[in-house]
Amino acid sequence: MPYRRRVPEFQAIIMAGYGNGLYPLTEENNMPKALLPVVNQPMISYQLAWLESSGVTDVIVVSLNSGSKKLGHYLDRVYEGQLHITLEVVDDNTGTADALASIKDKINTDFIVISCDLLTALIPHQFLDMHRSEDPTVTALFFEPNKGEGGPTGSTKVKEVTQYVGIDAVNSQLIYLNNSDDMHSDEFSLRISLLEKHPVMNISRLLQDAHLYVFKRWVIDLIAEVSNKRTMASIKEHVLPLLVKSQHQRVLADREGVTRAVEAAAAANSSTQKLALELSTTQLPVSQNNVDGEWKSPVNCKAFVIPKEIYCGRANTIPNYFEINRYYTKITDKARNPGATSQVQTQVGADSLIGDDTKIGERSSVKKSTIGSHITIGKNVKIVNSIVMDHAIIEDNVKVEGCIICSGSKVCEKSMLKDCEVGGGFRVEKETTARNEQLVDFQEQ
Amino acid sequence: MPPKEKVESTEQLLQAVILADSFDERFQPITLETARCLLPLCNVPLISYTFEFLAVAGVQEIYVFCCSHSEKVKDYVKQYEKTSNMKIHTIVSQECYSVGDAMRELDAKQLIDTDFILVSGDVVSNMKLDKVLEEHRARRQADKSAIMTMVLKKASPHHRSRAVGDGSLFVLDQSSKECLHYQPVKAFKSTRQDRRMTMDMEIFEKHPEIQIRNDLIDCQIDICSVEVPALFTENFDYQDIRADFVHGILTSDLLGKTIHFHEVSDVYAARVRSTQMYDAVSKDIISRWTFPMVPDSNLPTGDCYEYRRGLVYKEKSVVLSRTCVVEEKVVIGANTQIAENSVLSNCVIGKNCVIGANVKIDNAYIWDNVTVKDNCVVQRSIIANGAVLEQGVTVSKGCLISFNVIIGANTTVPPYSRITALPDEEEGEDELVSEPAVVGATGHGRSFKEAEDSDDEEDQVDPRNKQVNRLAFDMSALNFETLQQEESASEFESEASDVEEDEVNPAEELDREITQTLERAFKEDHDVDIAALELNTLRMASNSNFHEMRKRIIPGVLKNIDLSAKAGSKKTVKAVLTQWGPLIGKMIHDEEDQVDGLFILQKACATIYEDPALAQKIFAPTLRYFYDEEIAEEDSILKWYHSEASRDGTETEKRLHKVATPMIEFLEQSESEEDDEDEDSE
Repeated sequence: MPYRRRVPEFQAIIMAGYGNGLYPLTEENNMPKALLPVVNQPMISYQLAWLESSGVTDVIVVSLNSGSKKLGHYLDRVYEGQLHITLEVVDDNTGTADALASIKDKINTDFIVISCDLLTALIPHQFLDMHRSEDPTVTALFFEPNKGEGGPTGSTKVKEVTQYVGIDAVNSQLIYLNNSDDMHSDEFSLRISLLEKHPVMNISRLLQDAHLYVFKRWVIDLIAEVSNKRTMASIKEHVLPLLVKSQHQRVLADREGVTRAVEAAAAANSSTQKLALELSTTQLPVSQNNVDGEWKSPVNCKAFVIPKEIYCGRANTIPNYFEINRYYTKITDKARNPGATSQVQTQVGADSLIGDDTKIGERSSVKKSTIGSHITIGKNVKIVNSIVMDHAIIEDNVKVEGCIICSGSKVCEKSMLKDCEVGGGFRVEKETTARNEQLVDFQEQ
Repeated sequence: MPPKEKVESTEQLLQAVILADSFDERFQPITLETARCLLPLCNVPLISYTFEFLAVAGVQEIYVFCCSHSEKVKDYVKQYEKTSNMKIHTIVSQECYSVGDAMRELDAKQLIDTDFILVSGDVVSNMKLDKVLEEHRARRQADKSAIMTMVLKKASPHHRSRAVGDGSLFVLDQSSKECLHYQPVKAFKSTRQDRRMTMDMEIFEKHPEIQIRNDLIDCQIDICSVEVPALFTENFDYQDIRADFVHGILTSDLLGKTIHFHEVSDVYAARVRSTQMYDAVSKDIISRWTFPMVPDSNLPTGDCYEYRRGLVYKEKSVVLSRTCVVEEKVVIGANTQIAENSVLSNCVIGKNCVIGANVKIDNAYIWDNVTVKDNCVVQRSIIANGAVLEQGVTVSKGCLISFNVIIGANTTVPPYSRITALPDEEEGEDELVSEPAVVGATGHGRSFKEAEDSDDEEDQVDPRNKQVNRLAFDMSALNFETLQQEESASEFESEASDVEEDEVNPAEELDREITQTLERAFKEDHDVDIAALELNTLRMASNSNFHEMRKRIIPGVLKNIDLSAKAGSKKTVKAVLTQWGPLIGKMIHDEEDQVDGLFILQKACATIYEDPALAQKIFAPTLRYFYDEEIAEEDSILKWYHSEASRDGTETEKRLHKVATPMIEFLEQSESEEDDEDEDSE
């Protein structure tokens, strides 16, 4: 028998963006967003593991130019999973839709798009089965963010946009999507014709787009078209709303090329479809479009809302990143303190995690924190509610509370830091007292 | 001491208020002669269903509010009270014209001192209210501002027991069971406002997750606290309990009151709000959806219905001839006789009726003491007590034949007729003047005309919205051709409205809407008044002005003229102008408008026909018509003629200007004559 290559059901694309909300952690001298550690593991490893467990075999990682070298190194040398990974590099300042459009030729099947900052305990098939059984144009994942318990708020205040998400309570169709930015009036208004088609509709402003989508193959053509028309075209802000609206607005669907893209896809596939029907003993399905004369949209968007008890979070801002780290530190089954080379009289809380080869001096205590590998911590250091990344050095008598200390940085003795972010390779001079500050090297752009 | 209070609250008397009047005219002319709540529904007065429903809920004391035909209601209530262990009081108030008035009256009389159930006298339901009451009381104890709980029933938007055109949208918070927004939905949505659900953005601040529901039947069964009547008194402009009260409370920041809801799904609840609903609810009762309220549970004393196969309910004393056929879903009252070869299906026949031979009755409601003679056909209609159908009468669908009307032999009553035997008081008649055209030569009765809507009504009602909830109304009521048009129009509308409004040029949208309205008006031969009303609504909806309207209506009307049409056809210049000219007149008010109108006329004629010869064939008579009907007065015509702008333009336009010259000369002449006369008289 000739060898036939298995046609994958889905292709997956991981969008490894820059992480504007995570500045200064994602500065050039630290690491790109995809490699930021969550419980001492790069973030992207979580999506890779998730995809692997979902049965996907081919993954394309789309990275911006700036962090691509480090990411490439990780994927080539460090990553140990079974996935077949291709790294695609696009220019900085490219929108998500533009990035997808640029790898259009490599997409041959329905595809999963996932952001590199999504961490969820959701079992993949629960989500993918909705796409498999309902066969929508797109299935999007929504979640209700958990309330943070406080921590570094991140000095860069990225205000999160409130999204109004309308979902049909009966068939989980995604019917309405609007950002508060787009709504200038103080009135909320909906067409009644929409409510006649969807008599029970839940609208929430708590739900957030998890940036995990499953698209039909033909959507990539539409994405390419959208990306042609705009600069910085984004999936979330342009493509998804367009699809949602195309479910009800014929004129829009026609004008924006949605109908055309569907028809082209149908034409490309018709040969096999027709053949199958000819050979089949069942009757040809009567085409609905002509019978009742009513326009039936070729687009169908579904929303999967993660139940509250299943964890889901996006590490897209410093508080969220912090929160996710804390949550995963709590539930991880790694050895809490593998080195155990630490001296007597050090206290490591049960809610903390310490990486390999990390040395902790006498009388130091670590609480509610995640400490990376190869870190040297001096004597009488207090670390509370913080993240310390690999290769950092913390000298004696330092107090760190609610901070994120990036890799290779050094905090000299007797410093007191509270709610600060220390950039990669930065040296905090001794006896510094800082609060709510970003300590980074000034970089020439 | 709190525990003692609790004991008291459970022992409190449960009171209910029934609003026996519906404050509308949907059952006229039948309701001219009896109260709405006494109409027989499957041979039992409507209000008894409401009484039974309340009795099951454990109500001990009922106040019945009535105004029209109060004596009849009083008598019935007295009679009913004997057989019931509830205390029923009748409150007569002649000055009540709305729910609001009744509630204010209730507040003034201070009859209620606890939470009560408010229902209207046309509710048919088998739901139990204990859970709702419990919920309501618990909520009241936690939060005093929860003043009302509405009972809403789940059903799909196109459910039979959901009245067409009486739909409502609710915005709910499922976690706190609070109602956040209410909006009625019309069947025909002519304005942008009707087509959209609009609510305050602020709602999201308190309620991050909301649910918009279009699948709830609102039977207006409310658990009200004592504050509700008081709030009606405070806000003396509240009329309707939903559109005014609920809306007012929900949108008011000052009052700080909340309204809650209770959703039920597997019980029956409906209101007989219209003739169409009368039909739907009757069928539900016959099909036993309302169990235990079905004919064979024999609610009123003396009834003795027997339940037979095929949903047939028959009194013992009914006389059925050997060859008559009683098909499915039929109720036949006591002492009724049915003669040979008659066929009954899906109908209710009252007591002491005499049905002749070869009669066909389908989907009809025939009340007591009606005589239907041989060879009659009755379809989808209501025939009230004492009416007589002579031999060979055909009653088409949707008719309401009121008390004691006699339809003469071999007459065909057209669909949707409303016939009464009462003299027309408006015309100052003391005695009935029968209309043979309607009831036949030997008949007794006249067709009933609905009272014209007073003009001061704030929101103008689309006339179609009134029609939809009539008995037997369906889309086919409009003939097939118009049906298609209607549908395509509405489809087009909905599609067009599907585009975000801000993306559509408002002028284009207005263009299209006006063209559609006009086409519809021409095709269906609407009244000029109705067309004008629709157009006016459009104008207001699109925030446009009369100039814009004229610019579209004048060409629209003129386009309808077919120059090659023969005399007598509806398309001749004369016919079109006589019929639709007044519509143009309605768009023109002062002198400025008139001049403007003339410019538009000139331009319109020139655009419709390139050829000046043809253009002037319309232009001249129209100008003449304008002058004759004083749509454009002399001064305006002269002003137009002498203006620079009218002389410019395309060749055709110039030509038309010339066409007007003889008329202008005539006008100027007559004017100067008048002037002369004036001078003479001085």
